[in-house]
Amino acid sequence: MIEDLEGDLNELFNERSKTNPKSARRAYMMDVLKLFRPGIIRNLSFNNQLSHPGMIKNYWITSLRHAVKHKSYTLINILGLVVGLSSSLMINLWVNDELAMDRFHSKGDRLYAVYRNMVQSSGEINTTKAVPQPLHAVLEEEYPEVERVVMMSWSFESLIESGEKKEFETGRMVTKDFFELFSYPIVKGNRRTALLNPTNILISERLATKYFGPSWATLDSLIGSRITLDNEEAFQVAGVFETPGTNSSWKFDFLLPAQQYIKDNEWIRSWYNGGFRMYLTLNDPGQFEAVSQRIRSEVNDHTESEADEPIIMQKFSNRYLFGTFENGVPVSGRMEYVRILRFVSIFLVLICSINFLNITTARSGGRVKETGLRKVLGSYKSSLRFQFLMEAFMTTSVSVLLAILVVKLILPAFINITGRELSFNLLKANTSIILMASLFIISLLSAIYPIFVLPKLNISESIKGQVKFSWKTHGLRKGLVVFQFGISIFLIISSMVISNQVDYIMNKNLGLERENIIMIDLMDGVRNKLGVYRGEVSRIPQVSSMTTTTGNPLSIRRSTGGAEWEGKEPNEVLETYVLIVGDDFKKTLDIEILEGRTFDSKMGQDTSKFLINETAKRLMGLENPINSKFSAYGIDGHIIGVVRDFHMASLYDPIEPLLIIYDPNRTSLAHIRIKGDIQKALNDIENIHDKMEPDFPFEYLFMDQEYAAEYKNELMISTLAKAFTVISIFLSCLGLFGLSAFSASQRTREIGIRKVLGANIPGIMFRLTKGYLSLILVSLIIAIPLSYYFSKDWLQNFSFRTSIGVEIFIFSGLAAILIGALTVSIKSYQAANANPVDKLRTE
Amino acid sequence: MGEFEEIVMLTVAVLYDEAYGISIKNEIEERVGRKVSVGAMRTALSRLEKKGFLSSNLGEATAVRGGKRKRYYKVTPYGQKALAKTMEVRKQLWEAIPKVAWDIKLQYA
Repeated sequence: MIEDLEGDLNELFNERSKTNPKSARRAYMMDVLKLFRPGIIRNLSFNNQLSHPGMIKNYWITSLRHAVKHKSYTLINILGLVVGLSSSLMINLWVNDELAMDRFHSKGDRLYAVYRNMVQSSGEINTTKAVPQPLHAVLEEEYPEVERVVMMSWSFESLIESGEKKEFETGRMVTKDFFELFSYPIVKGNRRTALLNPTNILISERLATKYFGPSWATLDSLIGSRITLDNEEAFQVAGVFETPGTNSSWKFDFLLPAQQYIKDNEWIRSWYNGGFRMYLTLNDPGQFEAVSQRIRSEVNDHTESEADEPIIMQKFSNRYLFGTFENGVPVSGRMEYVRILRFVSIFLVLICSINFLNITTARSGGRVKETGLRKVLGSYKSSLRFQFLMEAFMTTSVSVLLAILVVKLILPAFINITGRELSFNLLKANTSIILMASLFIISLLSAIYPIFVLPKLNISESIKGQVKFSWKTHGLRKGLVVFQFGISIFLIISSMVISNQVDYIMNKNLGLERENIIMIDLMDGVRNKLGVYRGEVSRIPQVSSMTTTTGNPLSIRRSTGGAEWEGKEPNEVLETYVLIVGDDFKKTLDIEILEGRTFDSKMGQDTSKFLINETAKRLMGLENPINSKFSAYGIDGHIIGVVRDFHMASLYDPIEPLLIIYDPNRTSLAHIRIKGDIQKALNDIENIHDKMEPDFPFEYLFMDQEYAAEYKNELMISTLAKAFTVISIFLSCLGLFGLSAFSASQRTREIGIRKVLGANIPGIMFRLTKGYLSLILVSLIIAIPLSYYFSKDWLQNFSFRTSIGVEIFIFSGLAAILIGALTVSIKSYQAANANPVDKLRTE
Repeated sequence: MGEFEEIVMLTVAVLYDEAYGISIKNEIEERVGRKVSVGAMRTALSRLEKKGFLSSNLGEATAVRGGKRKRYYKVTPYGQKALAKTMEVRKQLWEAIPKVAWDIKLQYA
């Protein structure tokens, strides 16, 4: 073949060597090299030989033909896989986001949070983040294992003023090594020195843009700019940090050095109080055990009181997911929801894979003749297996691609529900690895039956179509249907329990009336003239009453261990929550008085009187509390009444003992009950506010919304659980539909003969449906006890919880049976209704 | 048919009895004035042959070529038709151009 080409080259060489022999050699070589091109060396197309790629082309065509011929099955397969995969992809986005929370700190592997356990006489342990400040110095001086310690304040709001702008922003106070421990990136300023000067302030990029314009980064004068806090204190900007993103559980827009506050406030420097939170790094994470052993008794060693307050440490990166403490030990928290949703995501993929597997298995009967013929023509078993694998692979890859598309489309809605800035990036994290892995696993699993059984069949029998499938595949398919429906019923029950509990939380009578109450933080302008403010507000026709407190009664943070009551044992310790209130407290919040009376402003001397709640009465063992002596918070007085328990913290926790003190001058939060037009009332209140407090903008909160916000996780889980339950039911029905369609089509002749012999339509439908119904019944029997067990377990987290009623099981059982029956009967009805003549003629 | 293929075919027709690799190459280089590599030549020739525009047969061995035979190419009747058609298309296009098109002078070139 190449003879003439060689000749051409030789001739050319001879010709050239006449003029220049050297370059002729080079040119010859170049010419030969240039001949290495497709089309000359080898023909590129494959059809002219029986190579492997050629067979792939053939498989490809056969698969396409099958897909087009059985459109409904192809659609069911792809639809199911797309719905299942995209749901599980989205859940994984959320799960990964949760797992990544607070993990960006470069010293994260040796970063720890320090907590204080407070052991009550009753044996109960409350865990608090507030740690005595003197521990800071002890750790730095006496613990060589500890690298650095940082203390951080609670989150608070301050009025920030710079130039024209003046708004409330959220921030924290931190000690000087904050940026050594936590890797919040600093855009401007020096991360080592920025917190050294007590009049420095660091602001987020968001604040920088807000107060210094979008081009703040180029502003030379930014560092050193003046910012006024709460109309009095002046600070200078010492740095700008990146606004904490959704990967940080802390949100703050400014940071202040804490030194000055610690210097000015004696209470925080006491071993007996806790205010700030504490975080530390160890030189080596291996020293954790030793340090936590030693640190345990630090507070007890430095205090004289009887109280037992061991110090504990938790790895910082676990803080977010394991934030719930039981008996002084972190147990779970958000991790619970991560686990639940992870299970749901695996279940969804399982359900849709099972659909795929079941339909492929059922339909492989139709491929017997094809495989037989291929074997006659010399196909190996291995290449038959490859063919089925490739077919499954094609369907799965199409579904994966579509699922990616669906996720891209639905993501905004999902972000809305979860409230997180999730982003779907195929290159990020392990998304693509998981996708590829599931692609292979699903393909392999779904084609497992045709792969192993079909190639082994006897050739002559399979060509004649005489192969009968064993009962095993029926058993397998039935088992899988039971499994699928079991999962769906499990999810129905669980999501009903979750949503019942959320309803319960939202509608629970908390012991005080939270609807129609607005809350306003009071500044000094109002606080100094509280009587005037109260008088003006009360004159607004839409205001029915008003009271003031030291903090939202639905989440009280103030407590004392120093209460003294009649009959108290010398060593007894009872951490009691404290609420200080102003006038009309009972009337505004609608709290029930069980014994005695409430405070009366007219009597004047009620500042030395106490109200306690039922729990306090019980725990203090007071039989007749009215008029018994009582002292706390530096006040000696007596008890005048007992209020019915109301919820002053999360419903996860039991109600704690509470004492209520009357002292309007110490209150700083107004609660105003509105009747009628809320907007009108708000306008009037704002006018009063602007008159008395011209330097601070008017801001308010609704008490019921604040309460609901505490449970936004539960609300989100409830919404997600409902959505994914619907999806899983849909997937299971899709599979059932496919299977029933298949079995109806298999039995067309049987049905025809039955009809000819006089069977009626309901009879035939019952015959076709009952097999599947019994499967659903079996899955009900399996799923109900399981879901009861797990739901009960989840509800145990709440001290206040709804019960799991029988109606949930009845409802979900009936729903499953009804939905299943409906799905199956669509195809059964078609089959039973068909004219037997058409069906029998095919013989 | 691409432009280079057209040139190759026309050259094969011009050379008539003497159309083999090197002569075609030389002829193109001489008449059209562009460099042609043996590889490009060869690809074009075999492609044209596959399309049925050219036919080929092996000639006598000569000493210059180290005893290797030449492959002579001929334009098939089908190829001739294709060439004629290409020419026809071009002629029609030329005739369709309005006279003015060549008269316009670009003022701001």
